[in-house]
Amino acid sequence: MSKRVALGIDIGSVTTKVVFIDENDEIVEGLYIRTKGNPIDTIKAGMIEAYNVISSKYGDIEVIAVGTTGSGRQLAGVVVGADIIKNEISAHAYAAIHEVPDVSTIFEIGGQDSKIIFIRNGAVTDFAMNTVCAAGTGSFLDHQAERIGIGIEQFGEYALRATNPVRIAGRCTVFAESDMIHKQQMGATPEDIIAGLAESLVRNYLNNLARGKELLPKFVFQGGVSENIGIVKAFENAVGAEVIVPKNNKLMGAWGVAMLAKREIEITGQRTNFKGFKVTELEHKTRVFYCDGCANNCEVYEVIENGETIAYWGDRCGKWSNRLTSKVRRTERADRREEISEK
Amino acid sequence: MSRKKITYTVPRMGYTYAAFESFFKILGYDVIIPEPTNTETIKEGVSNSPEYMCFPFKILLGQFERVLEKNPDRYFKVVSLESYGPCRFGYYSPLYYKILRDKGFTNFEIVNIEGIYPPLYKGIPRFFKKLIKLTGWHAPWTIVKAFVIAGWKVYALEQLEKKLYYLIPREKVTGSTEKIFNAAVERIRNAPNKVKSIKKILNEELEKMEKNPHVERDDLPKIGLVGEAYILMDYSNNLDIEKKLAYMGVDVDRSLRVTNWSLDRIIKVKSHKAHMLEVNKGYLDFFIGGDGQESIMNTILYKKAGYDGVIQAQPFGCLPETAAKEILTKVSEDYDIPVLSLAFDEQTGEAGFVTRLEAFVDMIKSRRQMKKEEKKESVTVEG
Repeated sequence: MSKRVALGIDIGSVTTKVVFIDENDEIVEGLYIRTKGNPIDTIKAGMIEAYNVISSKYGDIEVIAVGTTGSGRQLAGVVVGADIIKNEISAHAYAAIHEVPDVSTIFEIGGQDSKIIFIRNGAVTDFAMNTVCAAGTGSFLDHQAERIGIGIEQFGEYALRATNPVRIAGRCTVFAESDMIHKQQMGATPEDIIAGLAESLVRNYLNNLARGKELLPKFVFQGGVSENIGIVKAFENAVGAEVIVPKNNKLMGAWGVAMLAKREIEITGQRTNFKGFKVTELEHKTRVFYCDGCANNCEVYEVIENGETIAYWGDRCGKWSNRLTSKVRRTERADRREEISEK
Repeated sequence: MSRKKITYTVPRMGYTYAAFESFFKILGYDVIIPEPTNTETIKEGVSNSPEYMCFPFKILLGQFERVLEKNPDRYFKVVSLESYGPCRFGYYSPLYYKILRDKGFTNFEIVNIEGIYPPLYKGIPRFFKKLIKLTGWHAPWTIVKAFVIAGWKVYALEQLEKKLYYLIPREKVTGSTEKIFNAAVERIRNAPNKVKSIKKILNEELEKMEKNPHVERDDLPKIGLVGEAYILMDYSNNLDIEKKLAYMGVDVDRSLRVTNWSLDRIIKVKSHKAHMLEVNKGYLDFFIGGDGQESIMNTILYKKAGYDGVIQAQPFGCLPETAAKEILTKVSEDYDIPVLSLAFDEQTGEAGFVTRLEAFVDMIKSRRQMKKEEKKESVTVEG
């Protein structure tokens, strides 16, 4: 019998996460790759890679549910045929509650945004997301690692070795960078600068997102930046309690949405919309155009699969997106799935 | 200058532009309504205003510029709403004048309208002086008629809008109500200038919308919108937040509409003062400009009306709203109502925006679920 799995895809700004889970919600295979410029190709590459690993382990597999999340969730959703397209806050919270049932506060720092999620009695009661600036997120750390000339993976160790962390402005990346350069030219060691950066990042995060709100243990820290031990330490110092980094810290979003998709299919009892792994061989194109139907001048996005439009979005009036109503799309998908499997 | 030669242009405020249009048409002027906020107007406005200026200013500047550019052979009176007070909103019209002059436009003058401010013996004459400058000399009954018709049109459009957002989460065929609504707006816009016929059209259209197949339900999550007036009232500025929430299956209500805004701010009705007392006592006891105090007041009112959450829409860097945002954190705790603050700026990328809205709606649903379960438990314990 083929192994039944659910697929979760999290297309973040910097990295893409692909996760397969089995019937017990455990991760069978998880991948963490850079999104680069082209999310569609990244998803396809990730799916093929994960598929090869799993099929070599378990033989034949059957995908029973698919969910997408992250900032590219809509695009990924139409390309692979998702059953559920969920925002990353709900997905992250779901996975964190699954992993640590009595969690109260979730810190999540990703490539381009950082969020704090408050949980009481297993339900999200409040959340905050960074507003306009990317100060203190993964991409800034990435950039600084490159500038200093050490790998981002070693960032945490460097911070731990520091003896006397310097103070660095954390509110704005421009201020932070000029502060770092100044201190470096004055003779501070890379270790102290990196530790100072970690501290300022945490200070900025808590000031910006958690302001005035009660921080209760247990704390869970996830997202790409939670790999960094230096920042975990800085968080622990700031909140004065243990901060748990779950074992799948980088894959939490994809894991959460895979579980949500599986639950959705179990509740509705429908067949999955998943188009099959053959989708990786199809050609996908996207196109942007300005609609000149009225004075709104909307930017309309079109997704084309093998010469056929499968989705529109971005129009305010629904002139384009209503052309493909969800019902029609579903039957089309079913037809196309058969077509693909015949090939 | 003869009466016919002046053309008016007014800010677009959501769908109510139709009412402003008929106001000036009744007085016998031409009116050109700027296009809704789009990439072109934003580009124009942003590149010509100071970087630190409020986003509504940039939007309006862009819209006015486009109007002046397209009609070089007309003479315009540009109408700008303005407040007398501590925030940057008080300096809009002199700044428009300077920037547009610097750009080489000469075919315009700027007129503005503002509320009556104390002391009354100075405020009332000031208000009428401004009004005369705005409309020019007319027989009083013409002005009264224009006000009445425009008022009725605003009222009609707002009733239609309310109905639309009520029906969207309940309709059977997605998007069907919106079609009827769009036709209705056009009908009100072109309605003859008689109160009777506006009433008749309004009732007909409301009935038509009511007849659109839908399922009555009263268990939808309820979200109220507060924030800066111009961002909130014009759908093209706030990325259609109301419609998006409605399509997510939420009962959505906007706290600021043209009718209550002018009643509260220009005429200053008593109930507004009464509501404001609570804000004054605990949170903010002086006017900080813009709609800062109103945002706090309306959040409290929403909680009292049984809403599940409040979204504060503010232009990025808006002084009064930034102050209100900090105070709202406290209000949110005291009154146990979640508040989400969204800052709008020139970005049109909706990814982060929709993520926040979806997550907020998810959260509100789970909070409702929790409350329901708590209630059930307490009932069984008592039983």
